Amino acid sequence: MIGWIHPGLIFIFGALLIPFLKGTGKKVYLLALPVAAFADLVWISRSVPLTTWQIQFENYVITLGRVDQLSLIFAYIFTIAAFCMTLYALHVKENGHHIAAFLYVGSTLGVVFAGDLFSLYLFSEIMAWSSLFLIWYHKTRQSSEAGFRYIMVHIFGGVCLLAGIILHVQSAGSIAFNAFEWGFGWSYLASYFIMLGILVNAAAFPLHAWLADAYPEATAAGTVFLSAFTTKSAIYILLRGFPGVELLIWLGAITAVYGVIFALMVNDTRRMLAYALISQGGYMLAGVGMASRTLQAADGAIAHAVCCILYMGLMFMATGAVLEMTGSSKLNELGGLYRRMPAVFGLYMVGAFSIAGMPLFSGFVSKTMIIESAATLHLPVVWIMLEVASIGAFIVAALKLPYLVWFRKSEPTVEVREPHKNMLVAMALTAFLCVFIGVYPQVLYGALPYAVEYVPYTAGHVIEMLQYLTFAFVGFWLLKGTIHPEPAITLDIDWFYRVGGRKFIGFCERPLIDFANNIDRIIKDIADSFVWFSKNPVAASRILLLSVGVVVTRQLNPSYVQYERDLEELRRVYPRDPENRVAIGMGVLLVLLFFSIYLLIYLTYGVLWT
Amino acid sequence: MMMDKRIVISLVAILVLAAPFIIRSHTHASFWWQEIPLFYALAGFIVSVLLISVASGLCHWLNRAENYYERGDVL
Repeated sequence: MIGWIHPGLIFIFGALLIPFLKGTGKKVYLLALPVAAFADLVWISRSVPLTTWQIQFENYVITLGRVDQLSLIFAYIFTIAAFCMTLYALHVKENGHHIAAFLYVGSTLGVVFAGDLFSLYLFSEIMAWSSLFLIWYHKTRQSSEAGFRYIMVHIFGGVCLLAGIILHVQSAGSIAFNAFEWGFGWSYLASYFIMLGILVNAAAFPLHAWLADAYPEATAAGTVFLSAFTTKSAIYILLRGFPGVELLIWLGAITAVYGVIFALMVNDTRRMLAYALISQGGYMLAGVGMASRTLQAADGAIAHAVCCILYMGLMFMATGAVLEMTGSSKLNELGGLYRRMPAVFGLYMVGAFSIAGMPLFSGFVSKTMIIESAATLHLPVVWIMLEVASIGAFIVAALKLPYLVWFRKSEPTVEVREPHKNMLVAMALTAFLCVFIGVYPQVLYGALPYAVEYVPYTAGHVIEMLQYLTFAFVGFWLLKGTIHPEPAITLDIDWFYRVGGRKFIGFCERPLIDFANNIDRIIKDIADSFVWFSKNPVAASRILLLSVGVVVTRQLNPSYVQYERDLEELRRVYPRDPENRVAIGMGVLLVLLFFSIYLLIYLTYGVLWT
Repeated sequence: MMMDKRIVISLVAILVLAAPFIIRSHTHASFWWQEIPLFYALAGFIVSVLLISVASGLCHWLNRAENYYERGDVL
């Protein structure tokens, strides 16, 4: 049964040793773990498909190791990304940061190999909680608050997923994780919940706002890790669970366009890239949606996930380096950095050309697979939206961001420090992989599970893309004078729960508490009046009667004052509240005392007498 | 310097525009608009102008001061 070490557990248990290591030993160890996991994957990939690590739990079989072509390619890219990103984060001093990152990577691999829904849920929860610390380690007030919102949204997603899983297990009687049924009606409620939970992780519109809110607040290295795992593992789950759900095509197309438009609006470099990441996720969603009708779309979604992990990671590395070196990621504060950091600029542009789909870079060989699937399926609107998003990604990542960060001003207005060597090496390695896939896509295509024949480098493809990009550049060139970054934030869907949440708290704190206090006072008054009445019911009744009499006589004959005098006299002699009020707790205590003494007597004498 | 850039850009643009007439492409067109000559160049230009304008238009509507969420009067 156990002939294979789970690569996720290499990361998870390996992370536990990090605090005991120091200096160079720790650095070597940090890099050795992804290498070990990679070697493990190579070893296991000789015997696919394979189902291993099965544990019987009550009536259910937990499968930690379902290894097939689909899970393997995701595991490979996650492990490769983990190596590059660990290299990038090597200089980070906090052990907790490394531990959180490794738990995050390890649990993602757990999700990828999960063959049942319980372990899927368990590992995706570990992912959410470990990734939270990558945000909190930035240790700013913004990151702490954004982290709270991040985990709140993920708890929501997790609860949806769990509810769906429970419903599914109830009806299907099995916890095996395979394609879910999809249709319209109450009988598919379980699938709807699971879909909702996963769409949160995939950052699909309109559930995307957490990503653009939280990722830019993480540490420089943390954002790099975050960009790779959560959204892509959600794409993997969708490919397994919901291939060919038409809803995803439309959600994906909308997400892709929405993402680039918002990326053009925000003022933070890393938030720009976060929106670009959301937009790229849209392509994969659309690919998953088309998967059942053309396998090229399924392969395209996987290929694009692989490329996207690399180029998004690379661009986040570069903007993270800018943040570490200048202390700022705001577009309005940056500018003119080209002369101070040409290497970072050059490496960034490799990522930017990749996302833009420039021939010879990685995006070109994967994005076109999805767009062309939309064409073969004759989905004109989807095709247009994806093409618009493609041009948008080029403007965002390859034109606007580099123009504002590295050019625009002649001299930087911020102080610039040297980047850490390991960051540059990590970026160079990732950039190499982006170009390598772009130039030699057979490596990627060979690993795709559905083995679709696709030729990216036709004269038509290349010319089309070059026309797009050149004339998008011309458009940007003409309009670049109108782009003035200003210190501002851009409202998004999260406005509804950020302001709505505060309104709800405000509603609880003021009107609701007032209402509760009023009810409380009324009840107390009623109780008090009963207490007052019961002290001397006869006199009390007379007082009440006389009060009525006083009111009546005052109307009829104002000079008749006998009743009023009687009333005053009665009120004077009426028993007042005792000087010392005993709290209700005292009464309860006395009652308890009485009962316990009674119990003691009962037990002693009762036992003795019988 | 400025002139050099413009010349380079125009040269690249002309080359890219001319390319489809020089190299015959055999890509099968799925939509009628793909048959329009220079469709991709036109689309690239129009879409980029459109996206930048839409984004800057939306900025006026959706951008707020940086401390927007911290302010008390959001409620």
